[in-house]
Amino acid sequence: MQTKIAQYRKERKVTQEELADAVNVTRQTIISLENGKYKASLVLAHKIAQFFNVTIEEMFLFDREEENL
Amino acid sequence: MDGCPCTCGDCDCWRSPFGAWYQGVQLPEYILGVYCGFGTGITLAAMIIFVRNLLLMGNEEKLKCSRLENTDERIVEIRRRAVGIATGATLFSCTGLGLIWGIYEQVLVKSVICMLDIFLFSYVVACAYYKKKI
Repeated sequence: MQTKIAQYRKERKVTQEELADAVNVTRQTIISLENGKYKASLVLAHKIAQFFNVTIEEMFLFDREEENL
Repeated sequence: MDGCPCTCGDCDCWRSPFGAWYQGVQLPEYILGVYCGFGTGITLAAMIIFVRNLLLMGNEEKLKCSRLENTDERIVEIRRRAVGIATGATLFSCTGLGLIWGIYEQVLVKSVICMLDIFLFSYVVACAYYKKKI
């Protein structure tokens, strides 16, 4: 699942470390989320979206074909 | 086992069923070695973890890293998947080895069947439990 985490992070000048500390995960998790290798849970997705003051749909790009819908 | 003192008290222990069984069991040397190894390994691991936790308590930064490692959902997911694969691999290999070596040792076939029964029973019970819970 693709995300806009890197884009929002660069716009707001937030480092991966700062974002990881804010949402209580490791920096490696943020890296994996940005690369699309890991799918965040609903709770984590909500925390990240809330941190940047955007909605989950704006942050996480839901691909219908990838999810077989 | 001659000469082994019974900790329960002389007369009562001799008369109790456990005492009778305890006196009748002749443990081979190699299994005593295995038990000793297990006990030593567990004790050593506990000591190492205890010392590590003591050192962690004194360092806020390391404590935070340690907490994150245990609660980070990606790491938890990695461990969960690894445990699943390891369990499957152990189950298959034990079954295979038991069925092959069971040709020579009958007790291995019974052990394999017992192990598979325990696995299936635990799986069914766990499924039923989580079905109700979630």
